[in-house]
Amino acid sequence: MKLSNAINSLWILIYCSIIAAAFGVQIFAHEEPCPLCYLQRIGMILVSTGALLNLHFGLRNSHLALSLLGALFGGSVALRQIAIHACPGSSTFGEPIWGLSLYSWSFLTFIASIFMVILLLLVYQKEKKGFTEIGAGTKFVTLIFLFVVAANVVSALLTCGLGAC
Amino acid sequence: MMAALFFLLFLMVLFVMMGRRNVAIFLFLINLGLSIAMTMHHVTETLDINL
Repeated sequence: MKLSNAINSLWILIYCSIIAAAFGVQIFAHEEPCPLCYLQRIGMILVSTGALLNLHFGLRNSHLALSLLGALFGGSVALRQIAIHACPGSSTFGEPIWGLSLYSWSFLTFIASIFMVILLLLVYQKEKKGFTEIGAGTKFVTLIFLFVVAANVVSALLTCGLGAC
Repeated sequence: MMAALFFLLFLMVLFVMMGRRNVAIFLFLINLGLSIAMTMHHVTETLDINL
């Protein structure tokens, strides 16, 4: 397995596990996600999509640009939520984990994603364009990612219905 | 609306699996635009301001 494929797979799996952990908090701690929380999940999925495109079609600058767009969007939403709750006297949303709220952790993951894009740009080597061969590892990662996105569709339908949330 | 955004993402992943890169990127950009619109909607709603 190439280094870039390993990095991209790891990147997707880390984000899938973060979203799964958020589901854990939602289901077991009975903390319903807010609209900004859902928008941060969308940001995480958008970032992972760039990595998924890298896995399926080879490492390209355009895919990394999409990941960067997703990270900037998600990071700004997380920063917005931090700003809402950072004022003195206002409470945090949800229970902090290891001293930080979930949206603060989310902001840190988006910053880490921006550094991941930089790392991939450093190892970037122009590849022959075309459909790259899809291995079993890529299929496995893609199916896990698809399952996480489908779970979010169901969760958003149950908590927000068809409205704006 | 939020569920529709996630459904668009679901479709996008399906198109990646089918090898339709351009359609997937198109859905990505549509989704990003709608997500930014949702964020702005939330900002104006919670701050009670007009942009």
